[in-house]
Amino acid sequence: MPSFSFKNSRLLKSLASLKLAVVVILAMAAMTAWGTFVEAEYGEASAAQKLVYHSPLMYAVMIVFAVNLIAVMVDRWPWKEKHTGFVLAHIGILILMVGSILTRYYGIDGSMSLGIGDSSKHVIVSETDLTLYSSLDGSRYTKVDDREVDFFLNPPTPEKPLDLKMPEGKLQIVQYFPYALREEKIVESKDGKSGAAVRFQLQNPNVSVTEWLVQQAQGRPVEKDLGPARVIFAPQEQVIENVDKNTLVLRPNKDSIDYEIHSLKSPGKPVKGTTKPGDVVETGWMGLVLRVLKYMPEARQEISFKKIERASPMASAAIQVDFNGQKHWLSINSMLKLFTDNAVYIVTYANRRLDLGFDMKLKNFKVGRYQGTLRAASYESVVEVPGLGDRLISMNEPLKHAGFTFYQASFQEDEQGRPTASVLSVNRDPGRWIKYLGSLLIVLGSIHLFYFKRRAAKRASAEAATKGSAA
Amino acid sequence: MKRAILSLLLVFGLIPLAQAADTDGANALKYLPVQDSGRVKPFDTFARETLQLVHGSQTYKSKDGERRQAYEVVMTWILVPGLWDQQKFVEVSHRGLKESLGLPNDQKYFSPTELFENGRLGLVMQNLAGKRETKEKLDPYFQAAQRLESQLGMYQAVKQGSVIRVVPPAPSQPQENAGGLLSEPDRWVSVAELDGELRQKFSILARSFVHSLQVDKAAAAGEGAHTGEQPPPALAAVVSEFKDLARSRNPALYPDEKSIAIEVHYKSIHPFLISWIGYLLAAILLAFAWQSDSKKMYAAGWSLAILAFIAHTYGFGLRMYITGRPPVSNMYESVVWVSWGALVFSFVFEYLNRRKFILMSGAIVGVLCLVVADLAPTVLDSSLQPLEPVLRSNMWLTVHVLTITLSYSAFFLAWALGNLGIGFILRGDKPTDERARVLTQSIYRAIQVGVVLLAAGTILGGVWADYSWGRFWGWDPKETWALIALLGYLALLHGRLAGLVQNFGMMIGAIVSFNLVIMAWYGVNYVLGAGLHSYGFGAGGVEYVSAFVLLDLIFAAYVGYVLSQRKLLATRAAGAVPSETKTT
Repeated sequence: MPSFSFKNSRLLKSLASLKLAVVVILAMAAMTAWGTFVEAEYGEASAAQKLVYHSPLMYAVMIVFAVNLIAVMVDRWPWKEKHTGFVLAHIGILILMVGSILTRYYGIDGSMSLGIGDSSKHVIVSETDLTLYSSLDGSRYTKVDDREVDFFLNPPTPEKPLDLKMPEGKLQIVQYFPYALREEKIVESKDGKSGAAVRFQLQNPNVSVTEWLVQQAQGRPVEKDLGPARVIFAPQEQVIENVDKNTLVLRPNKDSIDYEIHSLKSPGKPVKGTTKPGDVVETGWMGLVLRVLKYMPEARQEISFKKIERASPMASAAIQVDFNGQKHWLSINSMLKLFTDNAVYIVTYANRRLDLGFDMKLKNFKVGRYQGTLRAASYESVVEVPGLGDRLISMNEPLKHAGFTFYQASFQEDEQGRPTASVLSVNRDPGRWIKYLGSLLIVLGSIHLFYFKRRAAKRASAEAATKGSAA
Repeated sequence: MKRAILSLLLVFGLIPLAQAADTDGANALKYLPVQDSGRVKPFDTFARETLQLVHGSQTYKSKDGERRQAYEVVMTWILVPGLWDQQKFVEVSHRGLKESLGLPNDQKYFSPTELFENGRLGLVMQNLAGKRETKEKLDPYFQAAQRLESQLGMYQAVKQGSVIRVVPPAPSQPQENAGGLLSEPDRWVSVAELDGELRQKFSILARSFVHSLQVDKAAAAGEGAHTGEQPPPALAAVVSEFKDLARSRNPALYPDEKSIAIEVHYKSIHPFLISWIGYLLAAILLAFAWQSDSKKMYAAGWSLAILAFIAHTYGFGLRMYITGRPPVSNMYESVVWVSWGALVFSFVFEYLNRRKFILMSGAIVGVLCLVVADLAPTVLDSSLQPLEPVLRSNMWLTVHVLTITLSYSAFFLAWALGNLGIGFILRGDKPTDERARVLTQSIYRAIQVGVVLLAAGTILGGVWADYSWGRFWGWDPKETWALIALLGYLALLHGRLAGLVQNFGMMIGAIVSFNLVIMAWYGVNYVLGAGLHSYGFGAGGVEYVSAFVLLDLIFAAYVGYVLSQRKLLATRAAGAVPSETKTT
């Protein structure tokens, strides 16, 4: 036998000490509490996860916790009957931790958003990739650079930009906003290629609508539906007839605007005229008057992003790309096309998509509502999966297929509140049953501890009583 | 489920009593079924909720000091709107909002006319709409503006009869929702939309109602009710005829008399008011019993606590019957449930240990919770609301929430015991005295029960989350704070095992750790305000809860200080090296 026994060593005693346990438990509680405040601050759970729950400090605390749990069990070896609850609960915690590690590193937690009638085989996960493609002829693209980026933790800045591999010139990511609002500005353009833009107002005592119509290129028409009416900003040569709703046609005419009012009441007989910014035109529809507020013969949209402090449903992450000195904004899950004299480049900044290996089609989506209200009571998706046929996924009734589980998470709706798409959460969790096992042991162990303590206390008081009477 | 609860209630024999009375005179109107916010409810409930929103109270005290019931007030909005337009009864309490509307700050109630005609109202509402459009979280000012918007909107809609939906739609083929306009399923027909026979019947009903009010008034004044005109038929009969006619339109959608009567009964008896008064008296009796060691007093305390508990259970059972689910889906319901659990634990512990102070502490928890539930209707919304989709028909969720909240009951009891303990220490007890030891033992026991329940409940929460959206643990703040509370109590128990925490430490621990429960239970919804559990979110009360927490902590710190001074004196007096080096 070696003279040194780990079992009786001071190291083990201190690793297994209850004082350490108290400190570690309090440290975990404090870290976790801090995390909830971080979440409230950013308005988003993933921020707290990145900054706190999955931070190196949290992992360090968890490691000490695990060591403490193991050490205390080694220290109590050989276990006796009275240790049952203690051992069960502590082993349960360790198993739960193992299960969580498996989930974290081998599990998939993503989502897919399916429009009604659409199909997809991609699951979107939270990791983000930055990819650069190039093409010499504009049709065949090759991947030049592809990397996983976590700009939330490592944001590029003008001082410390991220350089992408470029065959020619320079492409840098110079700015990152975790939460940014898209802002569109219509500005005068003089490149000879841009279309016209008009800002108009339709107003009566009850309604007032102000809208921009911007032609994407010269001579390309643009239209907008405004409930019962439609407005078309068309080139001079385009003929518009046989409308199916009240239609207002505007046409650029040098410094003024020609208008045609097609009313359903008098089909085929549009009212025509010319107006200028500031003039008022009676449309003859419910007392609505038309005002052209601004008119630009050549205009383009300029997109920029404004940083905000907290997550909001309107905000998204955005990066600023510096391409040979020219700056462009790119929001997450979108692409940017860049041109040089020799080639075309496409930069994408997007959440990673995983291939399910099969197509999933949303055949129907229904929202059940509480009687007499528009308040949602339930949602359900009917999906078509190859080999399974039609299946129903509803709240609390997931679909399991090919190692994935599909849950009804939420839905998207249009402005009138009609559902347009279903959002499924897609998940694969190899740690699930391990976590359940750990949980079960924890609960059994703590119940046993509780009863055992009670019995021990009773025995102790009984002994005390007999001693007392003996004395 | 419903049937079981109902038969339980019938055992108490109280339902028939409730139904028999109360249907004559103007009261009959209370029982008219109305569809509102996703369910069918008695007109009484609708009127109470409406008046609560608009006036901030469920009754209205007129200028001549007469207290008017909600159903009378709300019904007369339709019948004599001209009168109510000028009446100062719309509650606006936010100072900032009053300032920006140019309203006097010392006034609480305003007339609809002065609010509608307020020149600055439009601007405030525009700003509110802007906030909503950008989906920003509303601060208290805009929450108040939003309330004002719904107050005025509701008043207007009631006046026009458009929200008082009294007749179910005729049965029709189920329509496909796709493409067409978005329709509200099974939308009832409102008073404003009534036609033909129903319209006629309703106007008779209105006349009878006004007449019955006049009769009441005349009777009160001691005059004969004879006004010379032909009196309209009795209200009860008209209401009953109207109900029959409405039911004949679509019997499947029309509720039965009994469930409506039970809800009116629930709203009228104030079971939780009765029970907190009972608990208060029981606590006082038990305190005397403890001091004087009187057996009679002890028995009386027990009996009173049990009676109050029956009222508590009865109210809870009625609520469960009406909603058809375990009512723990909002703050109000959880407060009622947690206090119920605390009483159950205190009955069990008291029965096993016969310490008197355990039941007393339980009764005190009951008083605290139910008083808060009764007195803070704006923070703790007592109206019965339909559930969010994710919460519906989910066994795991129910078990998870019930378990976690039951653990709060145990911790609440431990908290009360802790305060009691340090109270005695302040009065001169030593932490090593028998009384303190026994108290500490009870605290330890309560915390143990709480820890087992909270651990199980938190894990069940994981099971629910996994079952519902495939995530065992998503760091949702509500779940996370439950975990933090669990860790806090585990640290306390381990500290006790390690010898770091003695009797006094256990008492302080029970008090301090309870703040974690308050955070998990209340703070996450009302302070932190983020995360998936947004269904429980409300506003207000933060200042009161913080003051309560702070006072309690100051009390604990003060007792700690007194105790350390006492020890210091004792060691000085002994002139020796202190034998006890432990610091509390």
